[in-house]
Amino acid sequence: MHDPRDLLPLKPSDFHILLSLAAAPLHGYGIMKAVERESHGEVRLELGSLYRLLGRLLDGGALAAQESDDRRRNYSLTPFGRRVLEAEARRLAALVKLAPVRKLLREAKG
Amino acid sequence: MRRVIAALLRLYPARFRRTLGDDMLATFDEQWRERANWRQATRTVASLASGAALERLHGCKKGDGRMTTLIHDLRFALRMLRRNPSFTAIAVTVLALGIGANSAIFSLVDAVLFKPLPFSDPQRLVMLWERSPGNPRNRVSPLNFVDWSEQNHAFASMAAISGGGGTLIGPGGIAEHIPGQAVTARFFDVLGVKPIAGRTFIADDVKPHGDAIVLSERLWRNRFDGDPDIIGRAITMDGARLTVIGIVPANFQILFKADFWTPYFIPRRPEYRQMHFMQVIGRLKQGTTLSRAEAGMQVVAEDIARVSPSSNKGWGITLTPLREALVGSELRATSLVLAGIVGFVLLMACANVANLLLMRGSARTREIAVRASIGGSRARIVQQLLTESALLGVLGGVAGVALAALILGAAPSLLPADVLPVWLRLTIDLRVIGFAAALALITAALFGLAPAWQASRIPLAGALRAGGRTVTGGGGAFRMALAAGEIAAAVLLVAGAGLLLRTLTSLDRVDPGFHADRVLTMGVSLPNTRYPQPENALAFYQSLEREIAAIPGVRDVGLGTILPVDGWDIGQGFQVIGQPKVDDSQQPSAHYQMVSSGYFRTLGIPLLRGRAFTSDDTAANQPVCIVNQEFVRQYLKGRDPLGAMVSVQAMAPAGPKPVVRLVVGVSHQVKVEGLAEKENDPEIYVPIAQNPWFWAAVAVRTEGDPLSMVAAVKAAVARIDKQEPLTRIRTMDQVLAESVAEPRFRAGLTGAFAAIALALAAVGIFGVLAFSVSQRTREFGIRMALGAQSADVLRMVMRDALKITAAGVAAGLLLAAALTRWLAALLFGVQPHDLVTFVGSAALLAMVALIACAAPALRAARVDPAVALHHE
Repeated sequence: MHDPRDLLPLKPSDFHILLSLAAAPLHGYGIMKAVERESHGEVRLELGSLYRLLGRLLDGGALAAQESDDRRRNYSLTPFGRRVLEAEARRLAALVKLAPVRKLLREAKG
Repeated sequence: MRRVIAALLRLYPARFRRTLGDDMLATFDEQWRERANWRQATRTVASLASGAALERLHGCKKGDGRMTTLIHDLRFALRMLRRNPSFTAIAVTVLALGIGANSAIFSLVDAVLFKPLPFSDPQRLVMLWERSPGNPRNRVSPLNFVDWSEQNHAFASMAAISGGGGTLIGPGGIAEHIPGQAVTARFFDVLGVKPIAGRTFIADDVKPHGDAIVLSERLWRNRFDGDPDIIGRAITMDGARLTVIGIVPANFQILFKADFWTPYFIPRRPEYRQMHFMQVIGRLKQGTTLSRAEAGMQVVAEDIARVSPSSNKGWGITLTPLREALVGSELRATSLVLAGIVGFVLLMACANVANLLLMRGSARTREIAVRASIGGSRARIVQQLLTESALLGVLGGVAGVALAALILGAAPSLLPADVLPVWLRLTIDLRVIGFAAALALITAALFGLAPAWQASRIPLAGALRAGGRTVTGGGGAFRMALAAGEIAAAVLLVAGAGLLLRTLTSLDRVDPGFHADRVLTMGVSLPNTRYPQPENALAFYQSLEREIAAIPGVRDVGLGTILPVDGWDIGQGFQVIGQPKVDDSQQPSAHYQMVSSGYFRTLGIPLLRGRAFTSDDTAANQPVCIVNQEFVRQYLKGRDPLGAMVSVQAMAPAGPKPVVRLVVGVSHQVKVEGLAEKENDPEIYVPIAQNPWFWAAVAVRTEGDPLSMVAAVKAAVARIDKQEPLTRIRTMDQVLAESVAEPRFRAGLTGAFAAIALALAAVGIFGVLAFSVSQRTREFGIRMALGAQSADVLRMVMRDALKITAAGVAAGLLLAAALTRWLAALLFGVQPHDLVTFVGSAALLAMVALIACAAPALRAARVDPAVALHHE
């Protein structure tokens, strides 16, 4: 399997999708809602864009889909997908650590 | 909405749709349950359209060099469109209107004219009629049908259909009338209908007192809750026990609405030779042509006439392809006219977008010149511009299909009942989507070529030297011609709509021959099971009249076979006594009404001579009748109609039997088949007590609002027979309105398209003038600096406006003169070249165009020379 870091940096919406699946598998509408909630409404995935990204992530091997009992499908992280997510999270965390150094977040802290 | 989404999903690459399509629908359903609103709908549609485009692009990426160029062009085009959102929005909206209207109308035209009928192997289906001496398409008598199906060699199978509703007692004991058809054994085989449960009829089902019944899926779901075990079970209809043997799919309908089918048994009794009331459909044998079948059936008709000359001498057989029989000439004409109208709307949309692009092309002159000067070949530049047009076309097409889906979704509730044949379904299918796609590309080519051609001719040096400021864009004359063309098309459409509107007003002025505001009407139909003999029916009618007359607020009540303007119901042969006798088969026929003494009074039909019927006109006394004006004109010319004797076939369970009647009155002519009826029908009225029959129309004149009496009338009926439902409860005003529902609908729809055309034309000329004024600001400034007055500048601009308008109106009038004759079949009381309509349309367009020009003209007049010259 290839190196997760090849895929970095992730687009924000890809990151949000992977993040929403970190805890448990979700179906399509579940992802839509989770992403909207977790991004505080910043990222809204409409039907077309959500599935375009899902298709890309499935092809890239980051996600897997299972048929669930009703007619919907459940999407979950593959081990590879989880590593991609972790790598991106680390990358972002490292970036964010730089922010206080440059005194960017002072106001937010106060 | 779900249909729109499903349609949009078809735009995705097949591989994508296979793996994710179903799940997308499921997700959409879930989201739609929580957020069903317009905003969400638009967002979803937009995201699907762009998602599909991006998926397709993604698929192309691995392609060759030319593909890469195309992708590059597309990317660039997308960016250009996104940078000018208002331009993009206007262009896409205009195109969506044009393509949407065309796709919706195409769905109609396709179903009416082209798409195979929804029956198996439909090109072999034929409708058969008897050809009587007076009527090439007469209904068929049961025994003639039996002879046809036994003696012919051309048909694989044949079936006859007759009307046959029934009453079901619903929850709460409320009786409900259910429409049905009584059919011969091969009916479902002829049409190739497969049941969704159980079976359809076999020969053994057709017998006296047969008890088999086939239900429609709709009735099964609505009235029997989709009970899976219903096959083989008994249900009660009209008080009789019937066994459900099968259920047929919901979308199977033919001729008239039916929710159940029962087998029709034909006894070999002579009266079944003489009652002509069935409709016959046949399936040609494989490889047999219609003309060969016609020749064969002619022989059959001659054989029958030899065996039964008294009933069949001189009668032939008419064959028509089923589609021709099912699609009336009026529906065909309406579809074609609508297709023509929306075609013009689309052309106008193209002209508008072409103009927008030309103007933008002028503004982009410098960009293009720069690209050309740094080595971009003309071909590449033209290709880039065409790609932009194509992208606009595709966006317009997608939005258009969505619009068409919305229109067709709303159509059933907007269309008046009975305008469309029962078997016809308006849907967005692959054919409609293909049509829309073709339209999108054709329109893109139409509106894209002009700007591409314009760009390819930009003189490099000049454009660059102009320093990025405005150059007087070329193609000014062409833009004006486009605007004039739009005005011409609008004149045509407004004239067409005007003619249909005037048709409506002439219909309103027609004298229906009766006077009946505040009259409530309804139908009753008495089943054989509870009313075996006509005398039973008469007893019901007499109690009914008594009960209704006793209701407070009721002034008058009358019964007849059918109401005026509600159609031709029963035609009976007759013979005036004293004139040379002819065979039954050669008798002329008149519209036959069995009426109570109150019929004329309640409906306000004047009697011109003689007397109305009275309670003394019973079966025990002298048989009498009242004839109408047309009857007198045709058959009692030059003699006193009162006292004339007429032998009229009476309705009787054992078949028509002649009764000699004394004419006691002459009634005023009423319209029988609707206000647009062009020929007067002869009518014979007989007292219902002398010839009662199993169905009747009831008319009740009330003091107040007739509809407020419905409950009281229903209660009166229930006091006589709890199981008897009333059908078609309407006021007489509604009956009249329904008889002109089709022309009203046509006028309304055409009027709406004409209004769109008017708006497009106004926007068109406004855009051209506004652009030309903005381009000529510097020129105006110089002129005014050199002493020209505001009025002079105003005059200059208005001269252009007048030139465009005059040319457009003149061309429009010529176009209208050439094309409105196609409307002739749909007009009433107005000529296709009606002067008032033409002058009115021209004046309206001139006015609208000049108003649209006012703003740009005034802006030109207010140019401040100092500012204008500074500006450059």
